Amino acid sequence: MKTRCHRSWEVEAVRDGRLTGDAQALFESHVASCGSCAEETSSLEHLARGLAAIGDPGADDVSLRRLRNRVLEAVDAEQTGRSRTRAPGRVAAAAGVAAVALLLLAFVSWRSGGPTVPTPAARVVAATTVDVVAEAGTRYTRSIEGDVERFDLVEGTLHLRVRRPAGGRRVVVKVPDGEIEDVGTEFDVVVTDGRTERIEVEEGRVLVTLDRAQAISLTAGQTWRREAAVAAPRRVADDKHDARGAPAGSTHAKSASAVKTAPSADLEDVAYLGVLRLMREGRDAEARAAASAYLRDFPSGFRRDEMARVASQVAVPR
Amino acid sequence: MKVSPLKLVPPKGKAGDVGVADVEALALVARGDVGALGTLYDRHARALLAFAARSVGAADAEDLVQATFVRAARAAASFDGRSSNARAWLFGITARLVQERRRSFARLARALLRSDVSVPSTSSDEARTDLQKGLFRLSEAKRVVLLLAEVEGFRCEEIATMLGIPVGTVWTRLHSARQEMRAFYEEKSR
Repeated sequence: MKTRCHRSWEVEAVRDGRLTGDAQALFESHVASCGSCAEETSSLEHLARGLAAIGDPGADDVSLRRLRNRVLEAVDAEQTGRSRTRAPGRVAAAAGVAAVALLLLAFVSWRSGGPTVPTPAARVVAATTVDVVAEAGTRYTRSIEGDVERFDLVEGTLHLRVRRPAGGRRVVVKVPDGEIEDVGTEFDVVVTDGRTERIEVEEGRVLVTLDRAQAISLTAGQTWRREAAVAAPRRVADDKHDARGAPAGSTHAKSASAVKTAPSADLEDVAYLGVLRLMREGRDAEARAAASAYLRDFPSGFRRDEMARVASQVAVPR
Repeated sequence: MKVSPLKLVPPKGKAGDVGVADVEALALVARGDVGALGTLYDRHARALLAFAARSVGAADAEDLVQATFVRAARAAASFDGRSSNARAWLFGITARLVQERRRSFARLARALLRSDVSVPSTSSDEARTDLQKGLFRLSEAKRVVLLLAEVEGFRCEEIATMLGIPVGTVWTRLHSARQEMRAFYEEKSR
């Protein structure tokens, strides 16, 4: 039976930072000549290496990006929700103040016998900061209308970085053929010869309404290109962002002409879920068509095998 | 309509550039800048996801990381860059969530036991390697400390700050965790 060195406890002590300086140096010279302590040191290093090698799912980029979107949407929703939930308190307080003010006005009016015209309360809009970088030759104007900061882009390339706190001023880029509403993000927009050529979102999300088409949502990593839209028109009516994100009252949002976005994990999810929904509803022919569309739009999609089975009418479990 | 003059600003670092420090990003998050949270995510999510997978299993790792960033956004204003770095702070949030999750699971298990319903396991034991099995035999508290020290390379003092416990408790948990892992291996090799 092997005997254990009486100093073997110092292996852990060094590792955990309890032995430092001279004490550490002395022990390290001891380890060089002590088989038991060397074995103990090696065993702890072996454990650390083994732990480092397990459990890591080796998350792929698509999963990480999808989780990223989930995280940012959750935080965005929470911040928006918080500002909404705080509102009733402010509204109640403002209503109380307004009631007292009205009573005072009524009293003064009654005493003076003259008419009174209440002044509308000024609306306080939180500060939105926008960094703008315009490429040479870009023509645009910037203006503020109420709670909207507006950019009219006539020609060229604008790079915008928007920091929009909850309740902050909205940022809208008017382009000759539509508009892009920022939802707190960083993006590029390119206009050539009176038409939008490219919109590339680097952070966050924007809502795009072009050519009187249905509003679409572009999230981080997505790019919209004119040539893609012209080459393969396709309506993105089922994009989950559309229903939630289309500007209220937008006439463009009700129109349904063709707009195409670059394939993305987000859109792939939407397409896949659309097929499942059709299958659950027993609309097999439509499900097959949607599965074929999935295969066409996402040739490298990671549900392609399942979608190929659906498209070729092989029964899949419902 | 008020028209402001055109104003050009020099190009700034894109999110994810090393130029925007974690501390600065957290300050922006505290002011409601969700994009800055994306910067932090890009830097730390992969490591946090691996840590979460080792701590609670791959099935729950993504939820844990999401909860970490949601909590980080809420607490960003309280981050003190003088006493901690953002990486340690984020790992601390995840580690605490692991322990909170364990406590809530224990409450559920007790309630199920009282009602004679079978208690589900936290994750499937069959698919795990021996080392994982040994790791998951440890208490959540010991497992987290072992992983933070041996895999993530945090010092014991840092772990103590992250978890809000005395450094002596970290040493004790680490020692105990190593002993249990050793005992598990000896048992397996018999």
